[in-house]
Formats: sequence, structure tokens, C-alpha cells
Amino acid sequence: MFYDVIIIGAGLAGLMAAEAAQCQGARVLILAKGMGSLPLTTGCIDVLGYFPSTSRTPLSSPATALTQLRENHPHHPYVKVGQERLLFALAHFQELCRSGGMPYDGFFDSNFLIPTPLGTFHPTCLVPETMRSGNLSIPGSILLLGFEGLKDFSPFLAAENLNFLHSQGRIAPSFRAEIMERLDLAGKALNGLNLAKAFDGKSFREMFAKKAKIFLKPGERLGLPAVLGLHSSLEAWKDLQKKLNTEIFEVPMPPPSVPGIRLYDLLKTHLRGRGVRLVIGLSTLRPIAEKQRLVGFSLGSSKKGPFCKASAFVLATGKFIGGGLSSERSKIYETLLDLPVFHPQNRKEWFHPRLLGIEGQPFNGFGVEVDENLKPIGSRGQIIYSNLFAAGGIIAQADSIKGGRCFWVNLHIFFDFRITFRMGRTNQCRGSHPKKTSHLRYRIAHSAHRNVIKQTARPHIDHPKTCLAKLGHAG
Amino acid sequence: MKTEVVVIGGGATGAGVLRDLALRGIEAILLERDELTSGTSGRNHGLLHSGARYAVNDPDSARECLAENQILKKIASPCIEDTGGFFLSLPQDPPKYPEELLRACKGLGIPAEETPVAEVLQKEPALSPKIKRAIRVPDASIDPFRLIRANVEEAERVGAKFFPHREVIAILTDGRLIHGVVAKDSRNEEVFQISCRFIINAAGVWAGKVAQMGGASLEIVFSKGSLVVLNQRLVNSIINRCRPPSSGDILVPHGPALIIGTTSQTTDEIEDPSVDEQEVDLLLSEGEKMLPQVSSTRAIRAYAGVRPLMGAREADEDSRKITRDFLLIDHGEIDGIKGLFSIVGGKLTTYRLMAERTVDAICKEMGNKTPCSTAEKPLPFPAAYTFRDLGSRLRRVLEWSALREPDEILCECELVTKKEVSQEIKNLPYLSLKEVQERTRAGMGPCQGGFCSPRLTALLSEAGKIPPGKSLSILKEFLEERWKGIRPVLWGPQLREEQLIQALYAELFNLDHL
Repeated sequence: MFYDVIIIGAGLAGLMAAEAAQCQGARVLILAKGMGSLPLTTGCIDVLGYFPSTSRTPLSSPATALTQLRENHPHHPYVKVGQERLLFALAHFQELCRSGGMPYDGFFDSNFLIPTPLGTFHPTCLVPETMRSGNLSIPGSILLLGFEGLKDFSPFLAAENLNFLHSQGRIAPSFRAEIMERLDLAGKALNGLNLAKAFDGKSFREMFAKKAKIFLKPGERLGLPAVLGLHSSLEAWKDLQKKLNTEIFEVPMPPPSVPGIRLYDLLKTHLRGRGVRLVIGLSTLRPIAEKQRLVGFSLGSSKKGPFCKASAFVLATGKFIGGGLSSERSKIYETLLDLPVFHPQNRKEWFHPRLLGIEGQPFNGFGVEVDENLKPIGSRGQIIYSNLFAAGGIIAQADSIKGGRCFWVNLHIFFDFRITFRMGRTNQCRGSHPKKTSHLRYRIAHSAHRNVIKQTARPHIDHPKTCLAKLGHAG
Repeated sequence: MKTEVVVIGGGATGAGVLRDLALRGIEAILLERDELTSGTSGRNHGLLHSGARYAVNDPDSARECLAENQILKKIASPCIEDTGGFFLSLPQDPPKYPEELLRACKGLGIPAEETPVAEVLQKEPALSPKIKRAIRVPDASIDPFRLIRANVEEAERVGAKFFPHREVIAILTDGRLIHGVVAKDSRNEEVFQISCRFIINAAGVWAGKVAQMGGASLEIVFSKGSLVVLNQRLVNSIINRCRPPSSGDILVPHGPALIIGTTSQTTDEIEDPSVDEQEVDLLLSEGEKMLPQVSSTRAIRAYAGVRPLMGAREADEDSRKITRDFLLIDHGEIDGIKGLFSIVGGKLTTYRLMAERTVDAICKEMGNKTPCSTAEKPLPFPAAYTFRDLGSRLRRVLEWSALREPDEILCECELVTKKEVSQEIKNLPYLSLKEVQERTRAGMGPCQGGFCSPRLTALLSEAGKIPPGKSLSILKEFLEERWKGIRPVLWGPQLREEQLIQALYAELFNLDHL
């Protein structure tokens, strides 16, 4: 089987790399061990939460920090990519989610502060619309309503800590907490996923709304754990807002995270619809290389096993969590291709003595070094495989600035490898290519929170075609 | 405040002394600068020695261990798992040591018996097939947290008082006779005074400092012992290496885990001993020789305790040669400070005997003729309490769910439920997550509290067991303590899990910026 691009990994990086490739007409195959690490994330898109990373004050706008970033961290991926490509990537992501029925709110030039189940705040750039009214810059009173038996969400603890932040003037709204008596999920265990499935059902929402009404005071916004629907969250959220006649928001939860699963499902469905092939659940992948080129992967350990070839490859296997990196007592290695990973020999230097020191943990920054085209390189700067790219957490220093770790490397390869696969494509490649995306529309949504967060000048967003032309990649 | 005896130090010795005093009807107060078991008593391998380990080199210690082993199995059986133990001789070990050991044990009356290797391997199939000889001994594993708390709880029931978080800052004397102590509440800096006739210094590694406050002198050698906890109970018996004491010569099964001990290194770092990576690697590579799976099993934590040993400084080079026997010092006789006693050295296994001797000495001074009853009277444990293995925990969770009584498992690793924790903390004042952990095992499993600690924090906060506004700092304090123990053993799957946990706290909860 021959593809233009084979992507290894089904996390946000891998899925968005697939999106980028298919948009440019490539035949794409995704190979992955499991469902990727999206279910372990909040489902929000953090671009840059703090700058400098050791700052105690959350960044109100990632865009404004970009200039400083250019001066202080010239090698930071954002700088390499440039603002325009970043904007394009974010806009594309938002468009994709909107068309998939799970719109994301937010802009590159402003961060949201959203509440967490511990009663702290989390700065983020794009949030699912269902989290929008959780914005801690909007004043008012909020009822946090928990579910008896849902162990990772204590509305009382959250409200106590949020009210403390409120009393310090660090967040705008004030909080109150209530807990709803144990809901019956038809004998199923009470957890986030089962609750989310229940909220997909109309009658369950009806029953829930009746019970929730008793707790709500007039004028209060309602905060609930992020379990409002798995397959039809937007509908569930809108329906509940209508029934309870107030603004409702979801609070992101520890893993497994329902919004993360929703995003995974959305991207997977979208890509499949575009002709991208996903093979998930692979335990063994054997790379085949010729000199400095990757030829393909054999699926399974036998030499006679199925064999997939491609012109270009994207390594999006993540860090330790994703399984892209692994370690022994004094060694850290890349698991698929044994690419060099630079790290101190002494294990002691992998870690900072404080777990939650503001300086972060060195091991989060370990990974594969890449050149400006995101091709993995060796210690002398030499490209290891001419047709291999890396995306996401596997890249070294993907962690170097807090808040950037989820997103940046996922989207900007959008441009970088299109030429490679075109040039590398051979006559073996047959069959129809998925339709190119020509329908990207850019909508500048206005929502309540925009008037609250201090506005900065919003850069003009080009149409993607114009973007491409400017960057000299216009096909 | 006024009392008869002030006991300083909430470790095994102090707790034992408090119980003994209380049972003999003597009014007493126990002061602990931190929490119960926060010193060496909570940082050992939880081994109930049979005495065999010391039989060859330290017969006095061995004799005491044997006697106390038998007593504790009677009075504290709910917190002892009578696993039995073996001494294993490997091809590279001194070939004459097994004979020496057997002879010494026989002389001391320790029931040690040569067992065919095939029989041992059948009982413990994970052991190395290279074993040459095996000697069976009556070692057992013991839960020091439960044991020590039971001592204090019984003492309190018969009238003694225990004050945690009170650090003694001065001893009041007139130069010849003590008459009280000054202590400070470490939580609110409040300073208070207690008048008393006797002070028992059971401050462990800090005993020298306490003696000095009273104008007495006491020289202690500090010996650090580091240990590694493995996620799996690879053996069901205590496994000793049959050679003179050395690093990595003991494996102790504890509930679902296995503890590998112990290094011995003179140190000056007594406040917050930490384990370094080389020590971990040494323990694992030595442990592996007896139990090959050690290196491929997940290590979940490393910790260190400091033994307070009485010994001449000449022994600096090798603190293993210093006797593990204890010493009771009457500073009235030695330094002319009447009323001040120090009890130092010894083992967890001999804590009761140490307490008995100490209280005997005080009773003699007082003219109190009540005999010691701690060796006969069983310690009180909650009726439901048995040694907490995962199997019985699972059975209980299943029983509850069969009764359709909804409950939540807060700690998935150790199967600790919300009800259980609520029950444990019901009658307690403010408490830390570490105290909950010691009472329930919550947070002791592979994720080391990574996932359950926010839940426990929420539970404590909702139950009013955390002072208002302190929940995040209590959580952070616990997480940092946990981090200290897991940092030296982070590689492989443990590092993978840790990255997820770190992401939870630093990313989602944003605790590194708040």
C-alpha cells in the first residue's frame, strides 16, 4: 500500500498533521497504538499561558508576547513559524471544529482564564463553546453544581478556593456550591464518561434540569463538570441553557476528559470523511529505511506482514505519556526509530528538586531535536531521514514555554511538508485524492467575554490562500 | 500546665514510654515536634526482627529482638503479618556464614533451621535458583504506623496526653534538677510551659539536641538507611542475605508492596534525609541477586531514615559495626542533671523493652512499685482492622457494592474508599494528607497519591478537617513530599505515569503558577 504521507500517532499533533496533509491533496495513513493522548488533556487549546514562563501573572494575550518571544527565544518554534501561520492554524482548527458541530471560542490575541475542579484557574486560548461562560473575567455570581459520587469534582473545594481568588481581586465572579443527590444511570457506574453519555439523551436532560432548577438562584451562571454530552455536547449544552434559562459552562476535569474524547472523535470522523485512513490498535510497527530515507512500515513483527510505504512520514508519537519516549535507569530513548534524544546521563538531572517549581521539570523538555523544517536531526545537525518530520510532544523543548505545549507543533507543519510529499510522490500512487479544502471561511465571532478582556489590536487574518501565496507555497 | 513526666518524641520509643507510664498510673504528656512517626519510626523497613540478623555480631541485640518478637506477636498481632523469613546464601557469599549463623542462633535460642533449597523455591518461586543454602527464621513484617498509634491511643484512653506539632525549645533546670519544659506550637508559634518532675528524652536523632537543652551531653552517631519500595509483592516471606550485614540484604513484603533495604551510611543530614540515585541503583542491583525480578519490577518510591546510634566516633567509617542495642542514660548520674533521662539506639522491634526499662528507672526514683504490664496486655486495634492486603480490601469493596451501598473508591491503587477515610477521620481534628495515608494506605500505591490526593483534599476540606484557605497548601505539601520519594526511582513506566500526573497538577490545575 502506498501513501503520500504516513503519520505515526493519533494525538492532536498526529491528527492535525493528517488534516494538513489531506487539505493539500495527500493520501494519508495514520498508524497508532491507541487513541492518542487527547483524552488525557482538557480539550482546550493552550497557546501561551505565561510569559516569561516563570511569570506569576497569566498572559492576557499570547499575540502580544510574540514580539518579545522573537527577541528572547529566537529558536522557539513559534518564532520559526511566525504569527501568520499560527493564526492560520488556529483559524483552521476552529473552522474544522465548527463544521464538526463542536465550535471552539477564542482568539490568538487573548487568553481565557477558566476555573478548574480544584478552584484554581487555567489560562487557555481556545475553549469549546461549552466552556465559554466559565471565563473568570466575567463578573457575576456562579453556582458550581456537583454530582454526588463523581469523585473528581468537589464544588465546595472549588468554590472555596475560587472565592479566595475573588477576594484577592484576581478573578471577577464569586462562587457558591451545591451538590446534586446521586443520579441513577440505569445501574451503570457513575463516572464522567457514563454521565456524558446520559446527557446525550433528551429525557435525562429533562430530569436533570428539573432537579438543577431547585438549586439555581436568579441571575446565577451555572458551572458543571465537563460531562454534558459525549456525541452531541453542543446540543446538550444549548438545551440545558434553554431549560434552565441561564448561561452554563463546563469545568475541565482530570483524565479521562470528556472534551478531549469529543475532540478526538470529531477529528477522527472528519479525517475519515476526507479519505484519511486510520489504523489504530497496532502493537508492533517495524520501520524500513534505505540509506537516509524511510521507505515504510511493516505492521507486525513478521517480514511478510502488511507493509505500508509513503513519500513522507510524520513522527507524532508524543513524549513519555504518548509512548514516543521511554527510559531506563540512565537512558532515555525514542521508541520507534531510535532517533537521538539528548539528555543528561545522570538521572538526577532529569528532574527538578521541586515537583511544582515554577521553573518546570527538565524531563518534560526531552525529545528529538529538529531543524527549521521539523526534520529530526543528529548531534552534528545532520538530517537523519530526508523524508521524516516530527510533530507535537516528541520534539525536544516542546515544553520550554508553558502553555505552548499542546498546540504549536501540531499545526504549523501544515505548510512545511506539502512540497516534500509532492516531490517524493511516484507513479505508484493511484486512486482519487480527497477533495481539497477550498471552503475555509473565517468568521470572527463576537461573544460576551470579548468585551471584558482588555482588547489589543487584532491582527488582520488573511484568507488561507493569501497566506499560502505570501509564504511562497501557493500551488 | 503541670504533669509528672514529659516524654519528648512521638516515635516508637516515646509512644511506648507513654503507654507504659499511663498503664502504671503515672501522669504523662508526650510532645512531638511534628506528627507521630514522622522521624525514623516512620522511615524503616517495617521488619519485626527474629534476632537472627544480629546473632553473629551483636548477640545482646539479637537476644532482645527474639524476646520482643514473641511478645509483639502476642500483643500487636493485628498489625503484624507473620510471614516468616529466610536467610539465603548465594554462591558468592561467605561459605562459612550459614554455619556461624546456625550456631549463633542455637546459642541464643532463636529458632533457625536449615531448609532444603528446593522447598524454599517451591514456596517462593521468584527467588534466584542459584541459592546454595536457606535458613528459616521467625521474622515478620509489621506496620509501624498502626503499632505506634495504638500505643498512643491506649495511653490517651488511660489518661495520658499527646500533643503533636509541639517542639521543645527549652528545658527548665536549676542546674541540678529539672522542673519543666518550654515548648512551641509550630503551627501558630504559641509558646507554653509544662512543669514536671521527669523528662524522658526519646527524641531519636534529635536526642543530642534535647539533652543539650538540659545542660547534659549525649553523643549520637547518625546512620542513614535508604530503602526502595517495589510495586509488587514478589515474595511472601522476609528474605535476608546470609552474609554479614550489608546494603541490599533484606526484602520485606508489606501489603501489596515489597521493600528493599537497607543502606548504612554515616550522615549529618538528619532533618530531611533523602535518597540519591546511586543508592537506589545499589539496592536494586543487590536485591536482584536474590530476586532476579527486582530490576524489572516497578519501583514506586525510595525513602531514608536516620538511625540514632550510640557509638564511639572511631566507628565513623562503618556504622554497621555499631551495636543496634539501646542505652538508657540517667543524666542525674552522668551529668548531675536529676530528672532527665535519655533513651537512645535500639530497634523498632525492641521499642517496648526500651520503654519498660526507662519507666522502670523512673518508677525506682519515684518509689512507684507498679510492675510493667505492657508485655501482657494486648494493644487495642479497631475490630475491623487486619493487615491490609489488597485481596481483603477488594473483598470488602465487593461486599459493599453487593449491598448496593454506594461508595467511591478514592484511591484506586490501594482500594481505599470514601467511607473508610470518612470513618478514620471522623473524630480527629485538623489533619494532613500524610496522616490519612498512614491510617488507610491511600496514596501508597503505584501512582503514589497522584490521582487520589485532590480527592482526599476535597474530602478533608468538606469534612472541615482542613483550616479554611489551607487546602491548596496542604495538597502541595503532600505532593512535594511524595515527589521527594519518587524522584530517585523515576524511569520506565513510573516516569511515564509521572508525566501524566505532573501534567494534571501543572497543566490542568496550574499549581506551579499559583
